[in-house]
Amino acid sequence: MELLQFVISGLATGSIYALIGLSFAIIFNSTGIINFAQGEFVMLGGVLTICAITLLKLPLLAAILAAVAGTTLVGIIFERFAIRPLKNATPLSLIIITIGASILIRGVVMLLFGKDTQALPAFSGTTPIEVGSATLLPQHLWIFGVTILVIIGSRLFFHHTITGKAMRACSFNRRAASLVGISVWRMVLLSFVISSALGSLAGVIIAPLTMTAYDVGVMLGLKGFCAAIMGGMGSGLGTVLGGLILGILESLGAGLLSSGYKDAIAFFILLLILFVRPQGLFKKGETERV
Amino acid sequence: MLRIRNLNAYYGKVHALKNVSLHLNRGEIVTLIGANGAGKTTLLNTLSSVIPGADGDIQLDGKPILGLAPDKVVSLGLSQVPEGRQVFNPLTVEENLELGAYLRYRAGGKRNEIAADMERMNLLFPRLKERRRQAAGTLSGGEQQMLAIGRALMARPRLLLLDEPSMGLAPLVVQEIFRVIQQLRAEEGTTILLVEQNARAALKIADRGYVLETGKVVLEGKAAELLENKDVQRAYLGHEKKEIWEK
Repeated sequence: MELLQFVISGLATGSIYALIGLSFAIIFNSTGIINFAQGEFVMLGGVLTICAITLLKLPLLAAILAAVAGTTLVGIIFERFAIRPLKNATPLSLIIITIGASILIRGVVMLLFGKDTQALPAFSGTTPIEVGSATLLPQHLWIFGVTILVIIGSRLFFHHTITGKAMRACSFNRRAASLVGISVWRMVLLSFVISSALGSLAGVIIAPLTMTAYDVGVMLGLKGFCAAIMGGMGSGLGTVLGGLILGILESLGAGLLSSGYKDAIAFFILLLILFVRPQGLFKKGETERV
Repeated sequence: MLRIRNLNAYYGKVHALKNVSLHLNRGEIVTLIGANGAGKTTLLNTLSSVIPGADGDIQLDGKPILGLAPDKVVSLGLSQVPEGRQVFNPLTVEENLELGAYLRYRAGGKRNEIAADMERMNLLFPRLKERRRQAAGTLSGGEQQMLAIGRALMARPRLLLLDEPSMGLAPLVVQEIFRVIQQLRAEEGTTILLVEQNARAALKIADRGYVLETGKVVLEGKAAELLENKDVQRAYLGHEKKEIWEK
């Protein structure tokens, strides 16, 4: 039965969409903007890891750390010089700026690293593991493991540390957050740090499976955006489920219908949700008293 | 404690505060009364540094605070309970209180001191204790107001600004809140600036009062005197004098 195989690979890409979706949601919740440069953070994760291995001759783990750190630095620079100076800009202008930044980052990477598609070696070999009638790659396990760790980590961070709680407070009500002494701009910067680190990590762990190049960020970014929309732009389980559902549907669609429909499925779902349930699939109505 | 001189502030393009001067002595309860749009909230938000574009002189214990970052103002001991409560609805009651102590956590404050203050809030507002795991958005208006006050107190302010704490609340709850305000001053010597539309209740617990009209301080004095003042009675306390209208 091929079904199991499709579900497994769907869960793997779905995990990646979930991570990217979370990174969208984190910036959205702190700033109210959709960061369309998010996909470039994902791309940078993979590309920088390959560079660190081939150019700097770093071992894999060090290369990954360097790539995540490098991407985070790009995220910080982006926030500091493109978002923060425009304190009074409307979300729309900020969103357009993120599109500009995305084109810029993609262009610079293309100039420096070329247009070739490159593969990152799998983290622990490519010997398939038999699971019933299907096979699992060791890289799939890495993807599942990292995703689970990120979900647990973000849950701990947002619900059990004072900084995480401050970020949630800030996304709910900025004015009230400043009144208790939370520095809103520090929280925005922090959201860019977390988001770019998370996005690049997703890019690193998927790179051995799908290869990477200067332009992979566009599609991955949009899929992650779709996951975040399914989850109602929350930085919680809704987005994770959204990503997984999207990944599985894509994989089933590609396997059972035609691989040509793979991307169309994601955007069909995106449009459907925006029309029918713009608040997200899982979001309950908020109780609010005035 | 607090001295404001010739403060001018703008609400959008409106000149909301015009040469406002006022002061608070340590341990005083001072009330600021005035109609909607008189500039009361603008004054508090200028003090908390959350709106830009004011000029004049504001000194807290002799230190100028106008134009400082809002978190700096809080760390100097000035906290505000904002109009309409503005608790963090999706967060639990407990988390709201913890965030009140955010700067103390960041400054490496002792966890047991913060925990002790949390316990103090539970004594001050027993109803919050029962609901500490509930999302703040599910509380009643009165409970949210208590939470908003508790959150501000968690920063251990020396000067507390309260913006219309009685707004939209049942009379019994208002009494409860005003009792807490008096208790704070009596037990901890907190200086309080109370902005109210409920002028009578505010003047009853205050030492002094200022009347703000279209951005200007038009009257100031001892609270007891303001309660007796004919203009204040007519404008804010609802003592209509028939003959005035029939002359």
